[in-house]
Amino acid sequence: MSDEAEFEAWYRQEHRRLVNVLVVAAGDLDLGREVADEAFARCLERWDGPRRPADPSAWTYQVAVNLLRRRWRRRRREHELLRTVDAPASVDLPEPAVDLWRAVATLPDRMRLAVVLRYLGGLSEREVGEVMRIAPGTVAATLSKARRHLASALEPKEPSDV
Amino acid sequence: MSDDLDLMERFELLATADFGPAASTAALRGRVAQRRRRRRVVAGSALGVVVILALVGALTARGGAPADDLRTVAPAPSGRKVPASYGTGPRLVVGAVPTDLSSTGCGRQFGEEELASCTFAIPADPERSGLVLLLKPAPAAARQAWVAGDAAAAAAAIEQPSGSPTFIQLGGRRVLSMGANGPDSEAYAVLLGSHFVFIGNQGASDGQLATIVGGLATEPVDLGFTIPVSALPSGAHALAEGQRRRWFTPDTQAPERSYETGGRVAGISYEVPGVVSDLEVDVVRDVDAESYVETWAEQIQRAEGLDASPIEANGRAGMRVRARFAGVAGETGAVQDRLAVVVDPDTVILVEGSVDLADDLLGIAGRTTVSSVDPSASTASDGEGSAESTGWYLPSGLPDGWTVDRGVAQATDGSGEAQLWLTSPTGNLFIVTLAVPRDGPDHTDRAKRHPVRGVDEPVWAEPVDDAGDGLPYRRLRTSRPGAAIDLVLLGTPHGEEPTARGRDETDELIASLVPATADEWRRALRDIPAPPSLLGASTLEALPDAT
Repeated sequence: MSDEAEFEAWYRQEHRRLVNVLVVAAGDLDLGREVADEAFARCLERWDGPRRPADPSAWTYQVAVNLLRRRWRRRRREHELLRTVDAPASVDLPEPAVDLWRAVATLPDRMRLAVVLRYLGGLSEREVGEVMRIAPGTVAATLSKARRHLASALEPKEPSDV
Repeated sequence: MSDDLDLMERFELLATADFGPAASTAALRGRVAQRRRRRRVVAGSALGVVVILALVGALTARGGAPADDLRTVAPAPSGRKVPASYGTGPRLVVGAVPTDLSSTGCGRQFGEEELASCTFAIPADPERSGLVLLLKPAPAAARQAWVAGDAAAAAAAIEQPSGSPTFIQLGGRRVLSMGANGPDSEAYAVLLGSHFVFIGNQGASDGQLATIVGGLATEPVDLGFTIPVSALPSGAHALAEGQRRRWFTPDTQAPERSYETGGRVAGISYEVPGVVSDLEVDVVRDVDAESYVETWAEQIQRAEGLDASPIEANGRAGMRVRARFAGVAGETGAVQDRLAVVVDPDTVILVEGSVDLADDLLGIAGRTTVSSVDPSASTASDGEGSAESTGWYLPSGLPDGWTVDRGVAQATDGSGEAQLWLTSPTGNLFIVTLAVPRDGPDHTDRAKRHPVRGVDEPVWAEPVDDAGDGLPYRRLRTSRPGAAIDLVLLGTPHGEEPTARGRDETDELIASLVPATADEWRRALRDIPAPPSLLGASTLEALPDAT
């Protein structure tokens, strides 16, 4: 199989998982897709040459997470990606997923990233730590807190007009 | 809802969601080509800078790395300012930023164990992350390994194992180089007393990195402006402060159009309990203030499509932009206010924070006072604190790796006293009391003459075991005409016995303190600000004039 065909096969296999991780982590369709495209492009740039990553999936996840964090950081100060409340592209989700999307969106950046990498990306805790560059113990603690947050956010609410 | 399987099932709903088709491989290749074109443009303009930095690096290397032995008893005087901070904890202080880096934010970004972080982008190389600094408590094992010069053990103790960690000299400091920590990036650590600053570098040059490393600290510095405590939101505490450089990138696809917004900028970032976004205050000097504010508002309007509205803060005219971050949290996006006000024709104050703090932000913009002397300018010119500065300094500087935990000024019986709480590289806590005037050492009959290498004046050491708390205090005292220094080793901040290097560290510290003259101590003491909330009457009035 040629390099190009090999990349194409790998890209088609990995695309949806990475895009979905990034869209949910970013809470933003455009940003998630943009970061995913950029990460895949960087992987493609190395694919044909001697710098091809040994584990392209892990490498691309790490690049994508770096890019996403960089966008977050820049947004904090330079607001390059700031939008008004009406501006973000809408995300079509099946109804049962909307509550989860909203619950995940309320998590702090680090928790949200860890949660989507673990439960949406399917990475092990060790892999989450490698991608986020944090210690395994920190991953476990972060996920534990995130689970508590999500449990509380997704808990069925008592009807108020009973 | 508490186990992994349950969550994975729930997340299947999002895993199978369709967020649009994949871009074609041809589109990805177009991206690659665009990246290569941008790199060529940037590389051309950066070539001169790289050559100069390479030459500087080569010259530095030829001079040989200076010895970095923490056992050195009498460190060379540095003249570094050590301002008094009142009951505040360590913060990430960035004392110098290279002209070609852009400060992109400071604050608390990660989990609870870390304290603060600052990030710096490289406008000329926007494809790479630049520098990320993270201030974290240093485990005792890591500090001990650091002092022992064991790079591998230090890296292991801070859970940053790498292939071949080594100590290097960078920015005049000993730095733990931990090698690659990701694609095209490298990790470093710098020990500052009881804390480490971790540095992730993707794309910054050695020269840029050295400038940042050389200016790192954890104690407050004189920023040249004062925010009244009563203007800050309740519970606000500083996370990071120091020099900043602000760049604006009007077009992310055309990074060569980025430009520095001008002026000399110093800033401080606060965390406010219960508020998600950090509170940031910048003072910009040496600009045409009115046009700066006008341009600032225009930039935001053009880049983000937001409206700016005129404001007045305690008589200061300015503009406010209110914006919502929709990207991260959807319907729960944080609303932020950004304010810019004109202080005088050359000075602007920028304030940014949650709209929940709108009144506080306006108060800070209106009530922050800016000193007439820019401390960064005066420090650069003569290395001495100015008469108008609000800090105080140890004329001989602190040994490498020591930090100031707390400074307290007090006026007693007509004399002036100042007290510093210091943490050593191995985690011992010392209290140093400086007194003016004193006739001589006030030692007891249990004190014994204690030789300290590099110190000519008599030094007495005595055990202090009558404090009633069972801690093994040890006191060293010395004096010069008109001033006395009293140094007590308290053990660790957690009430444990001192580490094995406690006694050596006591000697190191006394050696670093003694060279000050009485006049220098007086001047230092007079520069201590006297916050009414802490001291009541002004300490400054109680101090005798220098003779």
